[in-house]
Amino acid sequence: MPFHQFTQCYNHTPGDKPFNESDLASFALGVSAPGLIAAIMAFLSGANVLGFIIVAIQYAVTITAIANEWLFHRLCCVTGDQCAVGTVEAPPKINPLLGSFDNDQFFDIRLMPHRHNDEYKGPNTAISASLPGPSLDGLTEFTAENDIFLDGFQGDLLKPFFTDLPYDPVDSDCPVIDFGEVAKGTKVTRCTLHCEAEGNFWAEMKATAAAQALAVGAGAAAGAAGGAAAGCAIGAIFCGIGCLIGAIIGAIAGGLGGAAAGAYLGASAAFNSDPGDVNDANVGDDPLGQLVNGDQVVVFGTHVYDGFHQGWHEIHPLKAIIKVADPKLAMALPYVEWDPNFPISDTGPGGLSAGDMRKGLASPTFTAAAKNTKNDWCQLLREAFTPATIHTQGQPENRWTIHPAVDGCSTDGSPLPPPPIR
Amino acid sequence: MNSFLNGLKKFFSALVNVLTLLLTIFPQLLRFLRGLRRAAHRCFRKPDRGGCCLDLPPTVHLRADPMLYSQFWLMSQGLAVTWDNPDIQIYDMIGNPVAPVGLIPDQDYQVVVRIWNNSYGAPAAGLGVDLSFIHIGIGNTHFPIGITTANLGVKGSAHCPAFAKFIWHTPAEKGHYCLLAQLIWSDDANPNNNLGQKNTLVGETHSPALFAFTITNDATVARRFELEADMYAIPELPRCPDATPLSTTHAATTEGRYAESQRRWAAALLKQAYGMFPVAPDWKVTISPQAFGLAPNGSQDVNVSIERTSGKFIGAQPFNIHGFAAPPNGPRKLVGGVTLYVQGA
Repeated sequence: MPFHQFTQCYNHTPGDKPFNESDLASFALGVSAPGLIAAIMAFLSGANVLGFIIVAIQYAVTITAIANEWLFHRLCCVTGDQCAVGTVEAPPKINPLLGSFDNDQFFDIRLMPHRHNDEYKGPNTAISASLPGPSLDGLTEFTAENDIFLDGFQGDLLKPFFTDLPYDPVDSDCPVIDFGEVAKGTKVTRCTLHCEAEGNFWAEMKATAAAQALAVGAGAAAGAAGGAAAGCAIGAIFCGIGCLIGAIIGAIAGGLGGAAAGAYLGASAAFNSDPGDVNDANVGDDPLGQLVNGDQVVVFGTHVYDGFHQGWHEIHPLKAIIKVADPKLAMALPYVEWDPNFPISDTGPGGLSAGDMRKGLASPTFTAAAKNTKNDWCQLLREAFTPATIHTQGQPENRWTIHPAVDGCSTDGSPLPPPPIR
Repeated sequence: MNSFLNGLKKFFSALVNVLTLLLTIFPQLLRFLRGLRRAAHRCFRKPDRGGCCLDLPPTVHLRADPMLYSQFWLMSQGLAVTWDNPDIQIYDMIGNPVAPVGLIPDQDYQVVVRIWNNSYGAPAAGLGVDLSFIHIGIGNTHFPIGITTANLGVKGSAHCPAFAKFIWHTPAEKGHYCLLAQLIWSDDANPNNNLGQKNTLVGETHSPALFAFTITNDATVARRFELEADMYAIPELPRCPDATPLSTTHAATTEGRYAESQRRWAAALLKQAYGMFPVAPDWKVTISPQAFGLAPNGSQDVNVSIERTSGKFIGAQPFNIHGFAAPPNGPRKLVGGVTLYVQGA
């Protein structure tokens, strides 16, 4: 399948801690310590060339170590590949720090059949006390079956799985916060499913670490030389020793600046390393179009715990996202969303009664409709990713492009039979 | 402190990684420089991830392409077509296949529509299938038969092709029917290959075979109609190569799906382009009238006679009559057609 995957989730064992945002600085310092000490010693002893070589090597080592953690020690495997049906919520803001040094594309979906107002406005009570809420409008609490964590349906994808890893409420990276529906600083339990389509930034950073190190080393050396010369010239204006002091300050500043410039070039190259591949694309004659807030979709990908943040489950990598049928067209498999205020005289999608729509998952009919839609979609989507299907797709009789009767072939030389009665 | 020590521990394994990378420093440099060139092209702006909408790559944002044998789509691409649609079949109520000609009025029949998916990655659950018919000679009005749904899997899966079954009660008035199957899918990679028609007539060759049908201008402007005949029939399928099957990966690495698709279109156009199947010299097809103008909602009866000019004929020979229409100063476009089967005793 053409999706991109650079990360690999790992099997978490008790006591292990996945790579986390709060540990990033000290981890980077730890991995950089040997090179930093060696470089300082080299510069102090006057072996400047050796010092710059050490800086370059250490840069590559640090980048490689962080990339290894990011790619292979951040995501804990939960329940393998999973499929979910839901509604796209507004794209969350881009994370600071490493989040902004990443070209993953991400968004959240609200799981079917929940309303936006089912989302929590604080730490939820579903896990601690098996009680619904607190929902945004307070109406979910009247039918506990419609609480996202208690729905016994797709909400299971979000519920805590590891007992020794945190699932802390968040005060950022959550739709109700991004929409400004709770006061700033309020901590809420995440209850939307985060999905990430992987970019290649960290894989590329790792793959070209040695080349980037050359840029950083050369940048540092050039910056230091230029900085020393400039510092000396400026310092000499004041007094004789000013040249020396200025040169030292200038060399340090220039070296750091040069190294930063080299690193910036390296990161820019990695950000722009993926040219895209039309041959991988889902070739179509119409523009692919964008996904927007409110689009109803089905997603498929690996169900993981993302340890880099406060701890939540997500689909990573996202392997497929498909828009479900337009609600106006969906007849047998409607996307359903319960509504405690559904007009009593109206009929819901798929012929659901107003009573069913108002009860949501407390109504067996409504629950059956929701499960039917999810199961049919997910069965077909899972089937697309099975080794058997992928193998069959490579067979000559499935390589047709125009129509099987026009550019197909037959395994037994017989013509394409008419559609049979079943 | 733990993470500092953890980082320190990772120093040596990362150093080994870097030393290994040094073996490929030249390819890396090339890759790095290519990335830099692309970055410079974009003025060192990072790919935008903000804004209102998600621009997901086509590697993950997948669209199904539900399709059936669609004459309008195929001919718009320059291919010859038959109106005897291989994806629409009529059966009587005990399951015997029947031709759309000579159906008994006021009778139940079963119609099966076969649906394919041209997508390797995206299924279509709850795909709408709308079947209707045109009662030719009764003002060419569309009559609905029904709408149903089908769950269509990806190409090559157990759920592709999918089938939609209808019960059709024929009208009490005798006539000639053209069946139309329309697939309904909102996020379709190619919405132009969703309409298929089945429209056939059968006649005996006894000097000559005669056919009659009516053409109606259902546009709101006057149009000029032109009718053209050819002898295209869906070719025998070649036997699939016995060689080790291509894996999807292999196909993608050797030429890519898009290139493979382009190659197949080019090959089909070499062998099955419209215009490559003229009426053979040993047949004579007379269409009367062959060109005419029609006011909005105007109709014209058309007679077609087909006769063998040399030798005896045994079997069934299809002739396709394609109808093209053009508004004043407008482009000519395909508006429909019929496949006439001539049977030789």
